[in-house]
Amino acid sequence: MELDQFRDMWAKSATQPSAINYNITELIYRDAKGPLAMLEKKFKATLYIFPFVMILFSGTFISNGVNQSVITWLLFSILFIEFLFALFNYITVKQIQQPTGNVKDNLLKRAFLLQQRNHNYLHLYVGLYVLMAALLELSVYFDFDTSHNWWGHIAPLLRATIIIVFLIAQYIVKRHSQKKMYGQYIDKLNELIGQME
Amino acid sequence: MKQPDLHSTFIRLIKQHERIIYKVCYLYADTEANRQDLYQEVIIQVWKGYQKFRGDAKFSTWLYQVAINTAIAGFRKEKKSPVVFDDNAIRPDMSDTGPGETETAQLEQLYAAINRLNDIEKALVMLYLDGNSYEEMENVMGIPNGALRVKMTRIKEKLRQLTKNNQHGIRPI
Repeated sequence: MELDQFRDMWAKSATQPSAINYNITELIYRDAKGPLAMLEKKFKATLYIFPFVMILFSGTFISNGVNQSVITWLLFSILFIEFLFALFNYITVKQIQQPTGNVKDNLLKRAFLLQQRNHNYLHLYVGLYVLMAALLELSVYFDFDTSHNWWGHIAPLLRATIIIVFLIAQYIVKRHSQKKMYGQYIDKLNELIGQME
Repeated sequence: MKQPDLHSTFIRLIKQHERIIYKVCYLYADTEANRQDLYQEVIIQVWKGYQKFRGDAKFSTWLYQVAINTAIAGFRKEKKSPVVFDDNAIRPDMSDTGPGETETAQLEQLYAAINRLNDIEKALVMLYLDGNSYEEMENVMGIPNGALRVKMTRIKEKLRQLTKNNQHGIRPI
């Protein structure tokens, strides 16, 4: 069988799925249902949470101004960074979803953006936990908050061990969760890129 | 362009080139339900992209890009059982053209062989059989002309082997 012999037959063959009888006008206003569209919706929903966080914190910020406890500042900072990251995720997934451009470039773009996003996610969260640990240590050292005194009673070597174990555990858990969520898709993209070589 | 004009131009262009979308759906989705989902997804993506389409490339080239990108990278097929191996998953319908039984059987054999190719090879075969030049194929796929020619030679040989094995009832691994 020679491929060239089939050009005429191929052109004549109708491959319209029998049940497809959509009204295109109606179709184009529907929401995409692909996995990336679902992810976009998820990140968008996360963005809507932040205004509620602001309302939640507004009471304490109005009454006490900037004189907040370390914990309040830490919590607010973490939630604010989470919001910024959700925004970054939302923009990234929107970019990834663009199906224009040649197939190779599109695959490379998707793989790069997703891998970069996962990389940033890991670094951001490990960075946040390092910041939390540093703030806790500073709080104990400068006696910012008496509620943290219990931490100061633990031997420094044990404290350092707890922090290191916690950081390593978080890194492993986060990396595993990212791999579970996006690993298969990234592998598929890389496999497709490999098929183009 | 005003929205109603954009809308009517879009529908006209889709109707003109709908065979491209049908072919992509046929090649990349293995069940009727998946084909319908993929068709919807492609139309939605094409409409989203069309509003930014500047006409730098031919509409058909652009449509191939969007449809293939959506099919291979933006769409999740339902998980197939690993033991299912259905050669009839892709079955051409030639009822409107009235070919002979031999032609239909040959075409079915071709579709079955194409179904065993990887996603990129499927796209290349579709572009080739649709009569696109190597330059057009390069624009759609982003693979340089020389590499495309080498790939096509390999794919033709692979299809030749696959159809030969099919004729003898051998299932390649």
